Amino acid sequence: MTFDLPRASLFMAVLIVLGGYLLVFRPLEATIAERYVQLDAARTALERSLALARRIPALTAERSTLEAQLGHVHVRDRRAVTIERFLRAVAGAARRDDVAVENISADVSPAPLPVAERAPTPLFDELAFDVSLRGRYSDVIRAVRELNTGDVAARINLASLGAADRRPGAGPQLNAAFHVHVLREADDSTNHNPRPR
Amino acid sequence: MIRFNYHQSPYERLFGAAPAALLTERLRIPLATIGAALLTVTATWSIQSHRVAGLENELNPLQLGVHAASADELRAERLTASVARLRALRAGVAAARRETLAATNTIALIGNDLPPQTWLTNVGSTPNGTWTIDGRSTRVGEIGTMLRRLQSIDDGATARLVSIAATGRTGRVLDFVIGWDRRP
Repeated sequence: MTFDLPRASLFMAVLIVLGGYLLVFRPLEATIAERYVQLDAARTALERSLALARRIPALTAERSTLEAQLGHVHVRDRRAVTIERFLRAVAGAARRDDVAVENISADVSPAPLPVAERAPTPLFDELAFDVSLRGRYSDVIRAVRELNTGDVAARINLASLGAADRRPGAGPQLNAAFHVHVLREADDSTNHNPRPR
Repeated sequence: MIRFNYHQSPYERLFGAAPAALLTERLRIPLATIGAALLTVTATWSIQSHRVAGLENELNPLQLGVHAASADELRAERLTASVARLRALRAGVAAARRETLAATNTIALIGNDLPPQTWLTNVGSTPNGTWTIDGRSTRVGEIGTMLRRLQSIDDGATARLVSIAATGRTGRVLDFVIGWDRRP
């Protein structure tokens, strides 16, 4: 068996190139691919962060506007304050629209939840009341409309409307019972306090 | 004329008859082949290393930028969540008010559209949208008119006659009950 120097050197050269491919080229190529992925991720994250940061002034302004709008209906007040405001609103509407408040009682039956509130954390804490008014047909309707546009957010549904006993010297009147759900913002789940506020 | 090289190199003295040119010529191609292979590997390593270094130079400032912007991002995300909640609150309040207005308008419409010889004695509704309208009339035809008018208030609802019964001493007054289903 003869030792063929050119073939042996060619074999060695092939081995060197193969070793270089396996030990140098491929690991470095993998590192480069990883760096490209990191670059893309960093660019995406930076663009997202900058885009979000650009929205901060607009978001701040919108939040102020929304807070002002919601401030008019006091949905962020505490429970007792909301109830007091509602009672004052009912008394004011009754006085102005010439209707008598016959009854206000807390409704213990569960309130039907609108679609928007069927989330795991409810948006509103609803305070349910049954309110009975007595007065002329048009006055009762006007009183309800006034309550609806007042400074308390509430959903008012008719429970019953019936002719009232006629009193001497008075025109025809009716008794109107309403289910009222006063709305206030539920405690945020992030800082949930189980005790009633 | 014969020339003698009196200044022989150590290599020539060691190998004697084997001339340096002959040795170089036999090894030239193998050495060149191996050298080329080594050069290829080295060049590859050099190029790839420069690429890695270049990418890292590009990556480092970007990562610093991402880190610096993360505080703003967090603030913006909190603001977005807060604004979304406030929007939902506003929408909920608006929906409740629309619902109340619709209910009030319905009561007003029912009362305003009563036929001349017809009056209501009781109107009841349940939260799921079912209404019961009790009334009295002196004419059967006007109860039909009442039914038709109720149907025209809300095309999506179903108005149906539940009962008509004569009442009073002479039996000329009719008690009627109309069911009105406004369930969505």
